[in-house]
Amino acid sequence: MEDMYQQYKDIVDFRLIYIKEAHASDSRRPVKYAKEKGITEHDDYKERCVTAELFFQEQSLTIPCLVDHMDDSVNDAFKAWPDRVFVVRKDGRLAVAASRGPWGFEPALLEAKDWLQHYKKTGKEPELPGDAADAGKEQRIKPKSNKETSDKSKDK
Amino acid sequence: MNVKSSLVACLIGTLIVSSLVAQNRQQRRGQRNVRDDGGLKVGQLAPTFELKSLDGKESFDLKSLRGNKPVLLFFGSYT
Repeated sequence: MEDMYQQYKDIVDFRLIYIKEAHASDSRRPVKYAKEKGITEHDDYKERCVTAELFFQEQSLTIPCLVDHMDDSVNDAFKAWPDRVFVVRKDGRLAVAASRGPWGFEPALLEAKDWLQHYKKTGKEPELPGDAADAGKEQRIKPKSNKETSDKSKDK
Repeated sequence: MNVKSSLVACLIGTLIVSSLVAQNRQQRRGQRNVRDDGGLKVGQLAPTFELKSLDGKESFDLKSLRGNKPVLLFFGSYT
């Protein structure tokens, strides 16, 4: 991801959207390092930001990062969990919307890279395929709660 | 069929299979991953949203970039 960002950041806007954990230590399917690093499911927005910060430091990432609302509204709208890649054209339509990870993530990165290479080489966005879906209605995601720092622990 | 002929036949068969596998991989790379999980599809308008940056300094609105630059979105977490 970081390599792709460094290579194409001048012509494409990159954002990493940090969402809810896939395998937190207190989830049904924890991974070993989640327990070692004490990564639990986020109780509040601050905790989500702290975990994202840890991730960025350990992976030495510089991609601009956004943090999803605690109601997971952006994640839900994009059906992104656990991980997913999208390329959004200048007209707002999706150019790459491959299957989500874990199995779909690497192929999606390759697809995105092919798209970026074409765009960089020609200066033009690749045409949408003939069987592309219609643009459809514009959807504006609004968080269910007014507070970005909505606290899940309050519901416990 | 003697041993030598059998070995040659096996070798040729292996080469053919390897070639087909390599071709298939190359084709799959060029293909869009079309598994339908009910999610967003190529061609659809991406939902627009507004999110804060990790450092809290920026409020990013996807719609504001329309007409300016393409956007690549990675969704993920540490685990």
